Amino acid sequence: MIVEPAPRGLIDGQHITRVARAWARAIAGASYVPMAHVDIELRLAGFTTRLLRVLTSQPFDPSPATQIGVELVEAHFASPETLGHTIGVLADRLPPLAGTSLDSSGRRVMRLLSALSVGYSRGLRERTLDEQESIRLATVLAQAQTEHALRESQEAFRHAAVHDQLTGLPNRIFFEKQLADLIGAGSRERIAICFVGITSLQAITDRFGHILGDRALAVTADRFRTLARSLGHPLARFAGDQFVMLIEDPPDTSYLAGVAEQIIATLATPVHTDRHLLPMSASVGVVERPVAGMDANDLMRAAAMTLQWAKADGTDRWRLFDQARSDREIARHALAADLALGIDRDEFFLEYQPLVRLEDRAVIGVEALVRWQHPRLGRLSPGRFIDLAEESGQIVRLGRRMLDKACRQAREWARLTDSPPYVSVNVAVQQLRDGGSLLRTVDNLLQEIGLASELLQLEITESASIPDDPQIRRTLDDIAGLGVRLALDDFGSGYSNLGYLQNLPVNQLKIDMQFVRDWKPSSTKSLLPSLVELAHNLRLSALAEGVETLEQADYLESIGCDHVQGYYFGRPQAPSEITSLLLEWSSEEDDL
Amino acid sequence: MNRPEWAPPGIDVERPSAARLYDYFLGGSHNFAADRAVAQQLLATAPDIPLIAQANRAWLRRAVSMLARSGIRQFLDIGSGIPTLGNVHEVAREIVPDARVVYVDLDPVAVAHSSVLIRGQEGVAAVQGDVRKPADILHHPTVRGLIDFNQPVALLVIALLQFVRDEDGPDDIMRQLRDALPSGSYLALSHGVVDGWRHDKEMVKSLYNRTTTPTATRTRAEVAPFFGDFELVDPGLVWVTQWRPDQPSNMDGIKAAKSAVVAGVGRKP
Ligand SMILES: C[S@@+](CC[C@H](N)C(=O)[O-])C[C@H]1O[C@@H](n2cnc3c(N)ncnc32)[C@H](O)[C@@H]1O
Repeated sequence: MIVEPAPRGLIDGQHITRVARAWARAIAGASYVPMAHVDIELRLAGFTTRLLRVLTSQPFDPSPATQIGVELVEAHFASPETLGHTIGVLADRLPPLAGTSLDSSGRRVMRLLSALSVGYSRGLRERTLDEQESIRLATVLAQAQTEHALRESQEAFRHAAVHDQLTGLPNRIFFEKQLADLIGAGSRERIAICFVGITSLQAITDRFGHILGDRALAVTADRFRTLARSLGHPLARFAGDQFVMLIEDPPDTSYLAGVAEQIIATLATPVHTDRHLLPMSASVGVVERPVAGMDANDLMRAAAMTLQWAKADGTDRWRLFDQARSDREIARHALAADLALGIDRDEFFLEYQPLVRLEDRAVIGVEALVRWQHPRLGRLSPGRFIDLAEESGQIVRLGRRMLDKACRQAREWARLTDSPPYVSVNVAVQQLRDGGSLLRTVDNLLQEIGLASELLQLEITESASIPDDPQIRRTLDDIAGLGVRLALDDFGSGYSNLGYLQNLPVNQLKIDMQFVRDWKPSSTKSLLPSLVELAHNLRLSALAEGVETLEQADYLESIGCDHVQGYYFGRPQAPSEITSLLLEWSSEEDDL
Repeated sequence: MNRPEWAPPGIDVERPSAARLYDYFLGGSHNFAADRAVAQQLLATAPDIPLIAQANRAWLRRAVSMLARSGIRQFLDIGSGIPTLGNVHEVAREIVPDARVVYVDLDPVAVAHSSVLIRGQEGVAAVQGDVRKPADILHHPTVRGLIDFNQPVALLVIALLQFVRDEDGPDDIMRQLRDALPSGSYLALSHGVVDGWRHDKEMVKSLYNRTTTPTATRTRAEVAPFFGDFELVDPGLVWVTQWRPDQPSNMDGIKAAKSAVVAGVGRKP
């Protein structure tokens, strides 16, 4: 710190130090000065020296004191109180040092201090204005930075919300918005979607774990992105291993086929990792529709369905959406949903078709056939719903209900005639697999209803799983043990391991209607005689299904077939019709 | 306006801020009408506040130069405020010309002002940060860029913790900060306390509640644990004016400060 020398010969340093010390004490605490106390005193001593020089100037000119006032503020001796205390101290201490008469020096000091005050006030005002300006500037700056940061974090947030972390591709939310905007804008006539599934991914993840699965996905997504860029179509990761490419106003279907093929070619390229070569495969579902009246949800549903078709076709396939097929599948789906409700609401009922003994053409049994009185679609035949019921597992519940109905009906007929028909009820493999529950159901029903067990027959379809499944075998043995008849349905139509027939507790073979339908009076190659013979060799009765003409009936009788079933002898009909049939027959018999 | 949680805090010049009040009490004009209105009410209740502020600021100067003289070359100043006079980098660089200083404050205006002031100076930076999220400060790229946490650091927590209430867990915050420093580092901490406070505590508190940072009231005994296992250098945790006063001192008159702020410097073993 430079301390200006006091004017030599006029005032000695000690005087100055004393003034400075008094000054420092007077203004202590009046403003914050970032200096140690010694430095403050030194600084003030410098100012004191300069003030004395002005005071003693010849001729006297107080104006340099103005500048000293400015500098005091600049040195942070800056507050109204500081000025007040400064004037107080200096007015007291300076006159004795002025070296002139006290009277005139008093006046000089007054003029000196007023000049100092002007400079000081000017400095303080400047400082205040500067600081106000700087804090305003800082505020504007901070506001701008805050806005920027806000925008950035919003941006980051938005990006994270609409992009997928792993692949960096837009995500489903982004895609759905993009699609909705496109539909809303109406600037395009048609939109096509390629819905893509990386079908190999699951296997990779299962085999090598998530890290490698993610790697393979990321690499494949990168390739896909490059392809999409070169084609100029937006791409998004829809979910998991599914991607979706949007094609606006595709020129024609062959263009879409080309795109789908390129996608498969690109994605079905193996991925190299450090240690593995991972084979990749992909399937593509393509949907193309007019924008007008488009429902985005519907479009995506169609795309997902088409992808399923493509997957079902095999690996690395693509498929174009097919409205008729879709309608069928949707209807099927709706029906499956109605099925459980229909069972609850008792919408299913039975019709009965006569089983006739060829020998005397007597009705010895009836087959119970299930029908569905659908509230909207009307009467539905089993072909429409049995496989749905099997797929959904509802077949077990439905089967039990129908068994119940059939047994009660059989009991009713048993009351009516002396030679009542047995009722033959179809059971599905699932019912047989359902532990011992079918056995219990049958047993309970027979007891509860009081039905003779030989009046019930269960028809099981020839199926690959029956002979190999010990549990089913046991169930069948136990049911047969109750005295219930068993028939093997649709014999000859499917799996025929003749060996196992010997070991099944079956009473009857029902020869599939195909054999009767294919038979011609002229033909010599019919299998019918062999089948009948086979049944007989196994000590089973043979029943031919699908008999529609007298000719067929006579032929069957000629080859020794025991029983027949078919339109010629009676369609499936309501229980009341069967009842009248039975009454008619028994009265005829009485007549004899 | 509802600000999403992830948005940085906004700026409301209508709301008084502790940083600008402090500037006002130090005689500065880096403040707005809303600040001055509260400042004047505070002065009416506790006319000593400017003296207390000056005493605290003077201690900051003494503490920083002591630290610089002890060989510390990097300073992390949390709750640094609006740079007024005798800022940490100025004080430190008188002794260690290439001292590195990072200023951290919650108040975006204070940070912006600091940035303008230090623009173009290498080794000095100002960042926005909240001491209540110490990890964010410690991992801030600017902090990491300037301060080498393998070399001794002076952590300055000066007149800050009275703005951190107990529910914000100041003990835990301080522990995290202390833990981040290597052995040989220092903590310089001052804290406004109520032990000998002659003025209306509740009034002061309620006035500060109007600012963006309401205050906590603590006693001197409650401040000591903030040093953890750091060894306090002489003369320990004392009234701010009693901590190695300048000789001779011009603070004799500021008796009031003796019963308002405690200060100490601790060294990490
Ligand atoms: C009284 S000033 C102290 C300034 C400086 N440290 C000094 O002592 O001269 C308190 C500062 O702490 C800041 N502050 C308050 N709460 C804070 C927080 N949670 N995190 C960081 N800074 C905070 C305020 O913005 C203000 O600038």
